[in-house]
Amino acid sequence: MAIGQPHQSTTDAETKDTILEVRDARVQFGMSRGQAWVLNDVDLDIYREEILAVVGESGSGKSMFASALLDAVEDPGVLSGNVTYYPEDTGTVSSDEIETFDASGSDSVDVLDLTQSELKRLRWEEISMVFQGAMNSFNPTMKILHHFHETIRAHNAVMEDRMDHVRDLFDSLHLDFDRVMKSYPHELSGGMKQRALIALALVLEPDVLVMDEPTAALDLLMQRSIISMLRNLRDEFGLTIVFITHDLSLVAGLADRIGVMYAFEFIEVGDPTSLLNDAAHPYTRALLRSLPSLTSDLDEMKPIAGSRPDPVNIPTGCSYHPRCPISDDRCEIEDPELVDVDDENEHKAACFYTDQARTELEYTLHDESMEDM
Amino acid sequence: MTDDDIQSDGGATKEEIFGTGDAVERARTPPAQRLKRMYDIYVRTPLLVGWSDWRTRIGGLGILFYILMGTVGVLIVPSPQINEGPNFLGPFEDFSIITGTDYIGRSVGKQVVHSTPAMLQMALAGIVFAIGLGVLIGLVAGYKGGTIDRALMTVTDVFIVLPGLPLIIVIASIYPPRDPFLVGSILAINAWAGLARQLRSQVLTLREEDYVEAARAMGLGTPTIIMQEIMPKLAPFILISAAGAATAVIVASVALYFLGILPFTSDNWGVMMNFARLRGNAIANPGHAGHWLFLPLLALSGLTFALTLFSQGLDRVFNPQLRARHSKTVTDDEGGEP
Amino acid sequence: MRYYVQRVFQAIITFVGGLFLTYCLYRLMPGGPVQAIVARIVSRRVRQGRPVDAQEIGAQAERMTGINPEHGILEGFYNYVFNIVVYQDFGRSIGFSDPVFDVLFRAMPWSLFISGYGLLLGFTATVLVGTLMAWNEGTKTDSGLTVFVLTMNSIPYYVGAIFMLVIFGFEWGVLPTGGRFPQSAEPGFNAEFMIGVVSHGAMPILSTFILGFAAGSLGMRANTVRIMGSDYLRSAELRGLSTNRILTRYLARNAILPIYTGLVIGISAVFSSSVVTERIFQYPGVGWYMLEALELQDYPLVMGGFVFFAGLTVIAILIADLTYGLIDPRAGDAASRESF
Repeated sequence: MAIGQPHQSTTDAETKDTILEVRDARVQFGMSRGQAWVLNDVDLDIYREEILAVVGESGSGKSMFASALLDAVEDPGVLSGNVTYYPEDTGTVSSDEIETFDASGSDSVDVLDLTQSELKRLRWEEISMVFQGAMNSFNPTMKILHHFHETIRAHNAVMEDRMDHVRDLFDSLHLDFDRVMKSYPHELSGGMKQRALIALALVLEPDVLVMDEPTAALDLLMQRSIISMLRNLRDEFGLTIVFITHDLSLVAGLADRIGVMYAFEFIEVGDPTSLLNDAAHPYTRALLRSLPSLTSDLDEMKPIAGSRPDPVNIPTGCSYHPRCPISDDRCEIEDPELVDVDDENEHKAACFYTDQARTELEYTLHDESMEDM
Repeated sequence: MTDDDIQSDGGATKEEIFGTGDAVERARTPPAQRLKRMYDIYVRTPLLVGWSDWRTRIGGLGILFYILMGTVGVLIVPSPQINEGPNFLGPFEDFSIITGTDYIGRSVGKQVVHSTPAMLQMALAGIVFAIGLGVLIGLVAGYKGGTIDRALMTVTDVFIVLPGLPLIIVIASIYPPRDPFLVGSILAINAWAGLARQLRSQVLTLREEDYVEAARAMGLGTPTIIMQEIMPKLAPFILISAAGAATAVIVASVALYFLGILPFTSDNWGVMMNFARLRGNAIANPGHAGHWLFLPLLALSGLTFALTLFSQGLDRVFNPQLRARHSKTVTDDEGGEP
Repeated sequence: MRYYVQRVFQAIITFVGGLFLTYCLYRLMPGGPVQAIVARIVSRRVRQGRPVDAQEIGAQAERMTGINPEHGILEGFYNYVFNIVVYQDFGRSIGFSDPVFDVLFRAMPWSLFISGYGLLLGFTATVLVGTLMAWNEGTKTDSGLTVFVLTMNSIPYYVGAIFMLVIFGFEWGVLPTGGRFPQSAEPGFNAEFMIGVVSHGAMPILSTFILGFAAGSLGMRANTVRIMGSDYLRSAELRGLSTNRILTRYLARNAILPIYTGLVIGISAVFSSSVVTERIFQYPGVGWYMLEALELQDYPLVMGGFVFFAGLTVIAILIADLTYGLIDPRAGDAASRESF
């Protein structure tokens, strides 16, 4: 990522302003085989106006993390812990909204402790979400326009203001307002639907946008173009974006920070430059080694040995130890905390042997967008 | 077909019999083995899978019960005789004739048992007719496509849409059927159409599958591909349709015999009910001859119940769309990921 | 637009196809009705010593059956359809000595009354029960209703009709056991007639209702469960839409779509069953006349009855098809409605 872009200043400064604070978040649900943990005591701060990419393989709990931010974990999952939202004290938030959250007593909002009506306000007005499986996120028997109308109406917002805002959003997303609005979902292409969905998520000007695999069903070009639009949107509307994906190379150029999830918790968090170029956790290093690229030999690409952990039966100690080439007895017993590996750029990893990992486990970056960083 | 199946002995003579064009491939397998494999594909596998659902289990056992009743039952239970007991004996009055008797003192229960073969014959005829025609038209339309497809589907649509009983009545008015097998076939006159449509759409999807493509590339002929690659996938549909056709035939036949529309030839449940209605005045005076009407009705309901449970169960097992939401959420949090 | 034209065209093809089929049966079957009638006329003429003039006999047979045996199959069929469409001429009923059309046309509203109400009530109940089951998925309500629906579904429709007739009609004597309205009543807007129509229609309608109800509700349940787990429903919940709107605009609307297609099959089944239902309840509708005609060997009336049923079914299905376009915007793409 090139240094000197305007948005960099807000996230780089030491005065990092936290917008969402996640503490001890865990999601569990009963399965016939026993209690399953699909989010395991996750701690993370999300900073205002950053783009945080959450990367992990299928079943690593990243979707659960996304849902947890809005207290939208589906039954029968049970979410516990703390998610705190810090609304912006001045500016874009309307007086109406502040009123609601002031009622809870402070300038921070405990997301998991809201009443139904407060939660309804928080969702979409403050924190909004674009789903995995976006292709099916529109009601097939309703025109796109009505999705916007009903959302605006449900939140008692002023229709003209919001629709003007939607026009701006459509411009930024390169969508033809008139054509898209009067179409039914099945009449639009995947890319158009996806962008319309992003606009729908932003209709009430939320501060945080959570995107769960938003580009998974799209072709590569459309993925790239949506990524670049996201960056513009962030700059234009001062958004904080949490971008969930399994595709590390996709977000390398987009994110201000990358969090890698394994076995339902974060095992490494850091800025893209240091995380990608010098990953500290053995899993991240293995993940980077498994990335395909146009130029690399097939031999160089190594899939990660072993299988992903079972949510009912998460390994003791460091959950990665059964697959880790450098694990020892300590890893089997003791669970490593996320700790700083490099002091200057907040690069954290949950591993006892980061130095060893960095020297013993090799990988090379092939993707040009990554090497640039 | 695996290479192990190819046998040197007798192969030549088999080929002389069956061995023209596409059939060569099939003919290399001895008929007995082929029959066994057919049985495996069409009957055993679907049933084994279906057994996992309680509906299929109960329904299957019920059907088996009726088949036994119509085959072994008639041998065990002596045929009903005139003046076995007093006329219009009520049920549970005399425990040697627990089911009661009809207007000439015949045991109603024995009559029900001895009417079963006629019911089964009609059902069987209906199944053979509906499945035969449905499979033929569905497969040909789906596989050939083009004009043939459009023509066949137009005919099929006509049969799907036209009300069945009025059509049957037209046919019965021209040619009153007497033989149970013929009755069964006529009553299944539009039961094949739904199956034909289903099979056609299945074939259309399947023929695009890679393995069918591969089979074609290997130079296998159309019948071989249909028999070996496509038909096994369709077996559950066929089985479900067979149960459906049997139900339709049984329901319609009892109704038409009950109302006295088809000429009586053999004893069956509908004929019994008709007699109970006309000779026993069972509807207006159920205390008098109700048992004569209701016992065959009970036998009928039991059979259709078993058949419906059976096909519902199969449908549930083989139609993933019906699976509940639960199974989706329980697998893992990101099951839908590509 | 293309969708509508296609549907109308298909309806016409189905109707004419069905007609052609029965026409051929009538004409070609050895010992079939037309031949039987011609033979009857010839033998009477021979007995009376009148000349056997083929043309005259043909004309007489045509008056009786609507089919002229002197014409070729295609020409005859053309004339037959032409007479039906332009002059509503189905021939003359032998048994009721009235034009077939008059007999059936008088009976038709009563058949529609029974079938229409039965179907409508059944469809409503299907939707409600299916949704109720899905809403309580996995609970006792769900499994209890499932067993109930399965039982209803698997027992032939006329079993219920017979039981109703025995219990309400004869044992308790609360509902009339035959006819369309009390004989003493004067047809028109008077209480006796209207109450009579309702009480006479009650059992046939209820019996049709049972047929129409059970079949779809398991499908409705499955659809609803599927949509309850869909992305767009979850999205709608997160967007803060009211439960009411989600239930009606998202859940019910989308879950009904496949059921609505099932309604098409239901229409055909209901009209088909009305033959039996009307007979059991001695309710003189088109089906009742058709069976009477069968017993009297009144071929023109049998054929006419079939044409009426075919016509009614085709029209009802056409209406369902055309309105389907209103509730599913994807109806234009044939692919989404049927899986081929």
